[in-house]
Amino acid sequence: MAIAGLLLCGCASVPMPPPTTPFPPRTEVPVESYHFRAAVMDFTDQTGRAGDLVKTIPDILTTALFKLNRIDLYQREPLRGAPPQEAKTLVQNLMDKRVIDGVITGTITQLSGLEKQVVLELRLISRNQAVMYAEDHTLSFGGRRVMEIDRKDVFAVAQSVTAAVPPAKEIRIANRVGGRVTLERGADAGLIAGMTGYVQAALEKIADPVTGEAPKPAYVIVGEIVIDQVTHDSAIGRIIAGDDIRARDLVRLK
Amino acid sequence: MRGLIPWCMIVSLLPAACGGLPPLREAAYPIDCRPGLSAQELLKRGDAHRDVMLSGTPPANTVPEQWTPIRKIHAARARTCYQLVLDAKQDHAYALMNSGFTHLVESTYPESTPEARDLALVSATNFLQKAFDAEPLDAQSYYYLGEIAARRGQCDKALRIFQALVTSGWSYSHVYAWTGYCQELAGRSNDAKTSYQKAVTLSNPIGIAEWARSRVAP
Repeated sequence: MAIAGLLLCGCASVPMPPPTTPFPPRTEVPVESYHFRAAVMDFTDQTGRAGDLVKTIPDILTTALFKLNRIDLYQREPLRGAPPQEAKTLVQNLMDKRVIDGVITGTITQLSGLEKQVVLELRLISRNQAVMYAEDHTLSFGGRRVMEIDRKDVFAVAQSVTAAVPPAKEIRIANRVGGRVTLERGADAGLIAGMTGYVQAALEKIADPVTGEAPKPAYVIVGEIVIDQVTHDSAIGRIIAGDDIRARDLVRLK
Repeated sequence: MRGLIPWCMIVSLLPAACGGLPPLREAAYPIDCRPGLSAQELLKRGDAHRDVMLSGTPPANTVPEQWTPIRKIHAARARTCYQLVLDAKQDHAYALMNSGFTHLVESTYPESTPEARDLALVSATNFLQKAFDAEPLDAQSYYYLGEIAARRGQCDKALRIFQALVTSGWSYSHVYAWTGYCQELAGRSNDAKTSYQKAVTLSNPIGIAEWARSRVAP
């Protein structure tokens, strides 16, 4: 009888597993913008004759980019007319605070009064100094006393810049070593160096025990990375925010 | 002959050894959680006490017989910290879950009477059910409800919970370790072995994976 009792309760024969400490909740980081956000700086003038074009082209470009709704823009006001060194410091501060992901710079290299054209070298530089876009553009201008740039040309420039930040899929983190993560996809998924993305962790939910209904996916943003290197099927990112990034988390690229 | 010498005579240089253990001084384990601290800080301190109470190894300067009472003090301290968080936000899921967890751990102390264990598991259930209600469908709170069921001998219920967790993708070593335990208890040795091996393969958390390894080791 006693043996049967022991077998029934089982308490004497099978040791219980030890308790396991609860996993801590994921630590969230604040989100600035889900879009790639850039600041457009005043352009530099190598011709010495471009006058206010160094400010008006960036203004028009900002508006054009805004209309295309792919790149989020930092307001031009603090940068407009600021001395170059001051503007550079401000942009660096914005990057350090994760307010912007990149900066658009330009140089007017040629100006032909006869042909009414300017040649503009434009660059999009990311937070990790990767050049995401670099191209020469020829813009037409009109006007007699004041040069008035052709807005259609600027819009075409904006389209080219926008295309340099292609939308990419969500990509899973394969592993993390220190401040770096390896992503499961690379150029094949549209990744390019300089892209940034938020890292989202899935909240671990179960199907409803009563109804059996599957849980709705729920996430928290636990960090941010910038892509440093890309191969065709993987990429390496650097963590710029968040201590709680783990393998299997998802990177939501901007 | 030597075996007949009372233990207390051998250690008679320690004055407290024969006349009972020295009283525990709670002051040595001060309440470091107080109103005014941030929730983050309170949880951090609560977790620190919780980790001590969970530890199976007493510190070097601890009298072995006093280890469980010391752990209980840490359990109370941990609960004080979590309670302060709950005072500010009564549905704080992590504080509720850990309050329940401290009771769960207390139920495992070898010195606990069966009644005390039952009482601890009832308290644990109350907190963990509240945690599950506060964070609906949270996998981890649900897991602990399963572990408590298993500890109370309700393995049918526990296995249903563990199966639901695995189906939902919550695959951790402790789910499989407890599944294996219930299967072993039911005499399903082969199934139990498979579950233990899965716990070992996952190795997350590592501690319980080691425990599972000891169950499948020849």
